[in-house]
Amino acid sequence: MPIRERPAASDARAESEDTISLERTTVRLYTVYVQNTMAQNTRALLRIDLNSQNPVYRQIVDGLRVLLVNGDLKPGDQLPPVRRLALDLGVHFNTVAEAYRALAEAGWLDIRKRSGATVIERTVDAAPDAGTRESFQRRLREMIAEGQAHGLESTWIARDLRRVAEVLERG
Amino acid sequence: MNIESSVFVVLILLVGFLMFVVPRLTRPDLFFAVTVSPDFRRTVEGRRIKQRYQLIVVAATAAAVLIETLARTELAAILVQTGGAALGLIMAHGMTLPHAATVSRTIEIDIAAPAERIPGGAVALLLPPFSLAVLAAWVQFNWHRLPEGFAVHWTLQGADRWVTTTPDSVHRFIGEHIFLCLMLAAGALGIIYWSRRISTMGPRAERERMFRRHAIQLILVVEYFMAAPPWIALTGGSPKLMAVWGAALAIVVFALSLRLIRSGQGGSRSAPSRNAAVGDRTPDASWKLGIIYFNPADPSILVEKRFGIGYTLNLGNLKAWAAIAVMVVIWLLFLR
Repeated sequence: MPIRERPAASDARAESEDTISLERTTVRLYTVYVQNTMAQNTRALLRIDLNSQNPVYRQIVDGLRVLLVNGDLKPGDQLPPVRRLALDLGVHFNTVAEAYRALAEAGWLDIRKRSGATVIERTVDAAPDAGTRESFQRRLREMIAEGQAHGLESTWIARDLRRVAEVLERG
Repeated sequence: MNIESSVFVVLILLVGFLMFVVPRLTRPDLFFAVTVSPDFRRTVEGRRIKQRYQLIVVAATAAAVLIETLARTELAAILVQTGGAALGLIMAHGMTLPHAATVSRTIEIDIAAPAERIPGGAVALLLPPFSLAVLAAWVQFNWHRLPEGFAVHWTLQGADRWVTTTPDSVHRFIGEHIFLCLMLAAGALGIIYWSRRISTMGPRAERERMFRRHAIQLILVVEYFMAAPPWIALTGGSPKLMAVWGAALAIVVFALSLRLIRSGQGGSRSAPSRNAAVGDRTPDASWKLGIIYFNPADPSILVEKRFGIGYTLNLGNLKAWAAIAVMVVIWLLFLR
């Protein structure tokens, strides 16, 4: 499980700083999605910012969910044992265990004592209810407002949303 | 000067040389246990700090050689040399702290990468203590075949401590070596399962994996050697066999240690240098005097040393204290 530090190039750092400002708000899902879908390297990378105000437990859940949704982690794949991931991140075992439990409750993982956490086939409702759509739209608007409040230009946000939309349309 | 004293002086010089070059063996962005820019060590200030440390090491080593040559008190020589080098390190650590770099705390982990394992698995790890357990069972049924007395300690000139064969002395001797083997096995397991991987993606990650593998190979080899003396002593092996054992142990340990030293801490000397300061992903503030790691928030029991080659305990972890307590209790039980 190799680990990669953040890129040192100035443009990459500027982009990461934007990302951090977003993460300090409540819009972590979008941030993680962009980081993972736009990354040129398509390996199953989990990215954690230990300085973020967003709890590590939440970052792990969000990061793994993006990998699961994108298909970087497929049914049958084994996740690292709780202890291994906790050691490599330098966080408490319970933090990782709690994240795995949350994903298991959401139907993404099967957790067993001996075999660890395994990705399973997840069934989702064919037609999400109106509440889900409404909630998503509200969070997206909140996210954009937070980004603007932290100084992100509207054109930058629009361009990034278009990139996300292109990825989604490509399937 | 007798042969033992001469060998001891050579050892002092060897240790002095290692202490002299240690600053070159650490990760490039760790300088006297402080996370710095990889270029800091080449600056005027960096060179000045290193030269001051090396001067103290040379002085301490020279004093230790003089003590051994004139007074032949090995303990005093060891204390002077290690104490002097520790003082040099603490001073250099303090001088480097104002130059500490800001380290990014964002990390990426490849979730799908394969896990690391002990070379040879549990069988390779537990074979030496198991063989000694077999020996203990064998002597139960073969007391008549045991010699009347056997050697339990050796120097360069041969065995220097003998004991009479009794159930207590035999089992104590075997037990000591089982304990040594299990301690070494625990160290190997700790490197794989209880230490953090610092590695970055690409060649550095590969070099770090290789370094851990080499460190474990060294531990395994020493473990197998530690299982041999009871077999040799209790099955009537000749004194020459022990001499061969000692020479082989020295040669193998020297060669495998040299391999680790050449690769630098965490394989950093053989991997391409990086632009940004990353360090070993432990906070500078948790390194007390640059030597002792104390971080209750870190789940790791073992971490890479910041000064030197190999690993050290996280004294902020209760499990590390439990391991120390077990070792001390067992050692006291076997204390003669």
